[in-house]
Amino acid sequence: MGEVVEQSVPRICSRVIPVLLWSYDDITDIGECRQIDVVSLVVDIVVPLFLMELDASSKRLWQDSMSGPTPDVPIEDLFSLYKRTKVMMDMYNAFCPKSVHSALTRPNSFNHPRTAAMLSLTLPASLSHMSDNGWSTRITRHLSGYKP
Amino acid sequence: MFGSLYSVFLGAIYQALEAVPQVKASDIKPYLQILGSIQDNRLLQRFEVDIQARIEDVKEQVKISADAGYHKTFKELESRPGVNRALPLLLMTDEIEKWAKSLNKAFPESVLG
Repeated sequence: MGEVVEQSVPRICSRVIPVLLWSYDDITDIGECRQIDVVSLVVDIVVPLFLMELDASSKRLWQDSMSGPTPDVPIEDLFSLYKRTKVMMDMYNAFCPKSVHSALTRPNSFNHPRTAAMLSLTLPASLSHMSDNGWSTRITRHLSGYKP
Repeated sequence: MFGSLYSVFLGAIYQALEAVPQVKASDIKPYLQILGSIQDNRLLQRFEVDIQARIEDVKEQVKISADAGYHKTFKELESRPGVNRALPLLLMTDEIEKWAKSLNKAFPESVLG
């Protein structure tokens, strides 16, 4: 009787151990791969599209804002456009921190052509220190929800 | 059987997500609950190797919908009368923020996460 038990123990182990390892792989698989983060996916698409649009029309905007005493584009709109673009970039960095473009749109590195286009509106440097618009905190919460 | 069930439901989600970025959580929630309980079953991971590819399909679908949604909205904004070229861009940022907010609310955790 005791002999049978001794024999079956290693046999059980040899079956159980691969399964243990295998399910550990599955767990990490769930953590890293099996996720569809709808918000990140959408933001990752629409914000770069917006920045490209902005880049394409920035020269025209600048010209239109200087067309005569009553310009087609009031300068105030360019200022708000600047602010809104910052919101877009904050949103992008918060939702898509792993994205390839992310480093380029980070608030402190305005050396990307697209963002430089916006800055070519020669806004005073003091304006670039916008206050936190609330996205960062919201997004930290969002991120902590699904970080493995 | 689990594998094919899962595929059927992924297909359904695929369709529902075409409404992105204006998709409502209530349109997808029932699917997600079912998907979640199927995915909890380890049998699936053992036998269904194809699932990862389907998930990539769904991700791709979300991106395509987002792209189409952006262009549709911007076209609408741009075709409004007026000489102010900054206005459509400004309104677009509002739209994008609205989408992000509602999606963030609708999907506080990753789908299938």
